[in-house]
Amino acid sequence: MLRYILLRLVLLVPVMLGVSLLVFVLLHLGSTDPALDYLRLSHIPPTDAAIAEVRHALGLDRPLYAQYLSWLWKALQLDFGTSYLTGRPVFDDLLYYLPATLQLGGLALACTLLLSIPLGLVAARWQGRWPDHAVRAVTFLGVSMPNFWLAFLLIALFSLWLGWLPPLGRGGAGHLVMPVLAIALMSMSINARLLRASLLEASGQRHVTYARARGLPARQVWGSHVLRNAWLPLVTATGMHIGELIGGALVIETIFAWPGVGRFAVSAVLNRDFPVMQCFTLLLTGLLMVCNLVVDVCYAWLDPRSRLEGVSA
Amino acid sequence: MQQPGNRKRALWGLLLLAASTFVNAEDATQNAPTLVYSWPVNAGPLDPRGYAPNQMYAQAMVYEPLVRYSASGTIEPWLATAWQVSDDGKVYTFTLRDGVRFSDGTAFDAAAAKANLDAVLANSQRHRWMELVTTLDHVEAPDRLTLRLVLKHPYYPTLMELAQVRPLRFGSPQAKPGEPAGTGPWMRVDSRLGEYDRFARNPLYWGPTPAYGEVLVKVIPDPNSRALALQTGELQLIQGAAGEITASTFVRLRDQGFATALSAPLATRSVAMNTGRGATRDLAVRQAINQAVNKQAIIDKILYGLEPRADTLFAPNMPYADLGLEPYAYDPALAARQLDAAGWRLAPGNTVRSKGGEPLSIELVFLGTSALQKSLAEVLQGELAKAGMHIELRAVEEGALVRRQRDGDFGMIFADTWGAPYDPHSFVSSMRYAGHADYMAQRGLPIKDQLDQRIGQVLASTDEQQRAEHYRFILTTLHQQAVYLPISYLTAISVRRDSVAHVQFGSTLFDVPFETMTPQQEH
Repeated sequence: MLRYILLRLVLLVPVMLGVSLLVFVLLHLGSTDPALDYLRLSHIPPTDAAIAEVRHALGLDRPLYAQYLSWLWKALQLDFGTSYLTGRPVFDDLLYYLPATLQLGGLALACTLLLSIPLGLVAARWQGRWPDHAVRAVTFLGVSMPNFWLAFLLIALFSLWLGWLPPLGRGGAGHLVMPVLAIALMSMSINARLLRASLLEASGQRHVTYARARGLPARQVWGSHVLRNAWLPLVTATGMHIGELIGGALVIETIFAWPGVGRFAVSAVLNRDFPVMQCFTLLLTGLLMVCNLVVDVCYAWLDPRSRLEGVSA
Repeated sequence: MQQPGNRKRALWGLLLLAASTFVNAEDATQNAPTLVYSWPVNAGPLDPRGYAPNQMYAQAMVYEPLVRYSASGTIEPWLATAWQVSDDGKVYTFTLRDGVRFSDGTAFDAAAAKANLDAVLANSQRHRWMELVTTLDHVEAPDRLTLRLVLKHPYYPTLMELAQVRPLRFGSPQAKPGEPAGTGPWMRVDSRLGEYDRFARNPLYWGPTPAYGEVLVKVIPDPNSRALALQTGELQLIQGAAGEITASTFVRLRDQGFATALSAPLATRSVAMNTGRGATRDLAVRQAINQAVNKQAIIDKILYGLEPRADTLFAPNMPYADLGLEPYAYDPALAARQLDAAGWRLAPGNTVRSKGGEPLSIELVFLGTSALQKSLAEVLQGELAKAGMHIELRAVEEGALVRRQRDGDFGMIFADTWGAPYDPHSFVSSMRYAGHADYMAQRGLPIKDQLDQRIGQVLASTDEQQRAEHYRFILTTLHQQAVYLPISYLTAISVRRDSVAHVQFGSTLFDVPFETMTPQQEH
């Protein structure tokens, strides 16, 4: 098992290298020019001389391979360059903004799990009855509603009409409620539906029928035979939701003026701040790969069959 | 044995008194009201000569110019109380205001002012977009309160450019890194990345003390969130000319009863036409375009009626621009007659006019990521189609747009003027240089050389009357030659809660005069 984890960690290196090269090439081969954004934001007319001056200052006038190699060499020393727009070290800024995003993402993940599991259980346990219909209505709404729209509806309801919650910014617990809900609702809905489906599938399997035939109490049948098997898809889905939660944070942080990496990255994309975009993509890639690894390890722990396959792999 | 106890009590009494004074002093600053404003990003390091990420609204709060640009386009004394210009227009001698100190306690005198301007000259490559920087030869400080600017050649907009927010304002030469100090009414006391910047009034300010004790500027990037924050009371003021909220949101807030205001014209939203290429080479076509577009309908439908209609390249409130030029009135019938007379005829069954086999087709280039330009382009296309002109819309991204401006690769292109205080002199000056859309648009004019010559003359002119005459020639020629289709005048917007009074606009696109605003009881 340890060997497997180590192998996966080692594999991170070529993947990160590949991603960095791909992102670099895609950014620089486009017809966009960050020098123009710099001049626009500086309110300086974009004359040829001004563009050349800024391109030189930003190091964009060097050959592409030289730019990449110098970036890579520095990146290996955890120096991801300075932002074109703020002039501040990119890695420092990302680390500065990361805790706020992890707080939001972590709570959204917790919220997803805490809400989706009971909802999925209720829906499966009373399949076809009113609790199932109610859960279906909620999850249907959650899956179909874009998170930014939900965010504005929440602000309108809780801040504007009721005046219960602050509309934006980071501060006390009150500031967390709406952004966390806006980010979590979709994952929560998907997970609830998924859990319901896999519970129903598991409960139809033969070993469950035999368990019932053996006269085991319903609680034990559900706990030891149905749930145990139904968890697995949920674990996979949760791993995938981590990416979704961070993706959701991009938009939601901008709406709630939340000082996190998502908002930082959105502003970098809008203003073609290449160093920030590169570092953010790598950070996200690393984060998702580690999450996938954790999911796989959980999987192995929950399901001995995959553990054996994993070891042989 | 009594005495030590008494001393102790006296000491405690003194301590308590001192503590209470301290608490009172704390209260005094805490009780002075705070104005809450917002901006999409942090104010930046606040370098008086820095560009992005330094935000101009914040630089204008902290740093002050020698002379100030007023909303009516005139120049007022500021850190300089008086000035003289030599007869040859090459030496500007300023008398500095006495008793002015930077917020770090350093005196503002001629030496400090010279140090700032020398720093600009030492880095002139970076600032050469501003013509004064390339024109300035050297700076002298003959005595404590006299500052002399010696130019290489006469340049009349010297005072206008000194008034700009950067790079010719003054920071303390003794300022420590990360602790910017200017002479302005405000100083930054706190900043949290991604959250806010807090400005407190400068206790050493030479002018009237602002009514607000602090200005808290929250970082809010999203315009809709900004509007909601105002509605919930998290913000007290939305003001600016950089799309702080959309026009529709402005109208909604106004309808909900918030106090709103629009500034005087600050710049012009216009379309430049290429006189050197395609159908727009023909004066009749350019004039017909000016007559065939219903600007008021565009303003009402797309701009929510918020911007005044523009009939000339510069608004009459800009310096030298109040010339009484006769507008091209909206008259589609006249446009059609004019096109017919010029030989652009509509063949039976056709919807597009043509002349000698060449269809009247013009490529309109716009920034594809700008929803507003896209809407304007589509309406222009519809309006001109009614007059038998085919407008081919070409959405491009920013880099391509600049390349097309530089190469003159357009039939028509959106080209807003630069706004106060750059208009008209800096904008007109740029018309002489290849690489500007305006140069490329005008290069087909038979009198382009003469026009450029007059622009050179107006900038070097030392005689007020002569200057006005040059401007009359330049602006009248551009108007008569219909090089531009002015659409509307850009304005700054302001929406406030009742808790803020005396809200005024700055005289440029970039400043917000918080120091004039006063708190009042919210109804």
